[in-house]
Amino acid sequence: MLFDVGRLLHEEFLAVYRAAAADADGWEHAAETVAHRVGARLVAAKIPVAQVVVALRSTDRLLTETMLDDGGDARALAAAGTALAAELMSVFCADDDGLADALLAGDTPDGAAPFYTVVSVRGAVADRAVNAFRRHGPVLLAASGHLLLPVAEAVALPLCGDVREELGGEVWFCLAERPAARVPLARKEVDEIDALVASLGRSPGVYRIDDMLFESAVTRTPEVRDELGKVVAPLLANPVLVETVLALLEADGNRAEAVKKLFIHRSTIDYRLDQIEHLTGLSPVNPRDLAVLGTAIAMSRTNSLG
Amino acid sequence: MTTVLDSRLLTDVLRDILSPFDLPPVEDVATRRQLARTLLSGRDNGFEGLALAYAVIAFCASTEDDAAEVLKLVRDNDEALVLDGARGGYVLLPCAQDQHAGLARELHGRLGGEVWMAVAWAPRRDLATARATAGDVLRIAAGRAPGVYELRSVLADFAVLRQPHVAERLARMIEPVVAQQPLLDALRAFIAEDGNRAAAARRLDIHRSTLDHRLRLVERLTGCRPTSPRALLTLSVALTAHSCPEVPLPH
Repeated sequence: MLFDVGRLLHEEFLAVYRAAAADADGWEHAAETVAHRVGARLVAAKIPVAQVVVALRSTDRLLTETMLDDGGDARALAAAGTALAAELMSVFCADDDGLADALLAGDTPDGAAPFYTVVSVRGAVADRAVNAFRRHGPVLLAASGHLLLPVAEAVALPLCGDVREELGGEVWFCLAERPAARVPLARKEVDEIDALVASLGRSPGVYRIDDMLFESAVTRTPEVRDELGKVVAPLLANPVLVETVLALLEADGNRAEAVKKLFIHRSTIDYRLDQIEHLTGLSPVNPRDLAVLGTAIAMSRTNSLG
Repeated sequence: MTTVLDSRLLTDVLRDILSPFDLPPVEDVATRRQLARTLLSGRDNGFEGLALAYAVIAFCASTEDDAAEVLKLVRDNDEALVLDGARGGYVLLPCAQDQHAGLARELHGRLGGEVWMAVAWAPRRDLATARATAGDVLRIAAGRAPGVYELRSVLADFAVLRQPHVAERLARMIEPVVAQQPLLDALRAFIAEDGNRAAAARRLDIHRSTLDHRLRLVERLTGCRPTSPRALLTLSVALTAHSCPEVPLPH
């Protein structure tokens, strides 16, 4: 939704400034109500906070000057401007840790958006990430360090990509979306993805459950976890074979490329691959088996296989 | 438990306690079938002549004749217990740990027709779990070439089949590919040829660049790059999740 923030503020705030200028009773209460309503609207419209600050400044200057010209009380006008700005920013920035924590606890307080994308941050300080996200739109920070964005996953995905680039360095974001009432489930999913991404040593990036479906299904299926542990056990005793599997996986199964990485002869890798097949019953020449072997190695390193 | 199930010891134990005379004679098919059903449903009736552990072989065939051939193979084996259906069934064979795959392969090697076998091993008390595992492995195997399959040969597909919400997500992801026959054929051929593009193109009788183009379209539709082993596993599992038919196994 595109609209003129300055104009909206001007229209909505005019009555409050007028009441304050005339020193009428109850303008403080009106200021609070109006600021909350406008704040919620701006949050819903995903207006960047920087734009709101600029609009607030110019609206305050304009309205104060107009009221002063009409002989309004300068001190009351200043108080009105401060009250409106403070209330509006409290809603807009939702620096209200209470809301994020309430949502994560399974409550849906008034003022909650219809759905949220929960984001976990690894490799960067949460406060820095929050500030980066805030430049793009509203964000809540929970005491647990999770961020809550009041947008759909499809919107949050490219946003996280942009923020990751802005932050620079090795940063991992994991995200999941749920309706406001089911935010705890989103957090659970995010924590699961984050644990897998970390333990499997995946490269920095933005991850969703879609990227970890196999690993997630494995950790939840006891028969498969046990079998995967049995498959990989004889391999783990031989670091050279483990290294060979990982190099081949990194080379997308291309033997010539893996040979270069490992500084070995082509016939050496063929011999090792035969050994791997003999020990595990899975053929590293088959890309699907190779992927399973890679996952089994990564999961066994973190004892995810029990 | 471990000492008893250690393969050599178990073989000894089996030889000692397995007295076929205590089982109903092979001619009494109905009683033996009932016994197999009881064991497979997880109830151990404490029958004297039973082994400590079994290989559970779930099988199905493309024709009733091929299925009958499997039954003929084990008909005269006093130790084998069979729960059969029209085109598939379960065979229980006394078996030491880690010997079950070899046992099933040996059996399969004596068959002529198109038969799929899924084999799992379990101590007598855990046969219900082994049956469920073998049944699900067979469902996955039925979409591949005839042969003997174990859990380890279909681990990824099995895991996803057991996690319906994951299966659902993957099925949705692959839907746009399934909706376009040429893309589906290209992906299936690429998977069947273990990621060998030249062989997949030959299999479909299309030009290699045509195949490459179709695989790129698959990537655009799913976000999974078929030439990456991990992504190919995901795509392959998604196809299983999208359509994994039931197999004709008796209840």
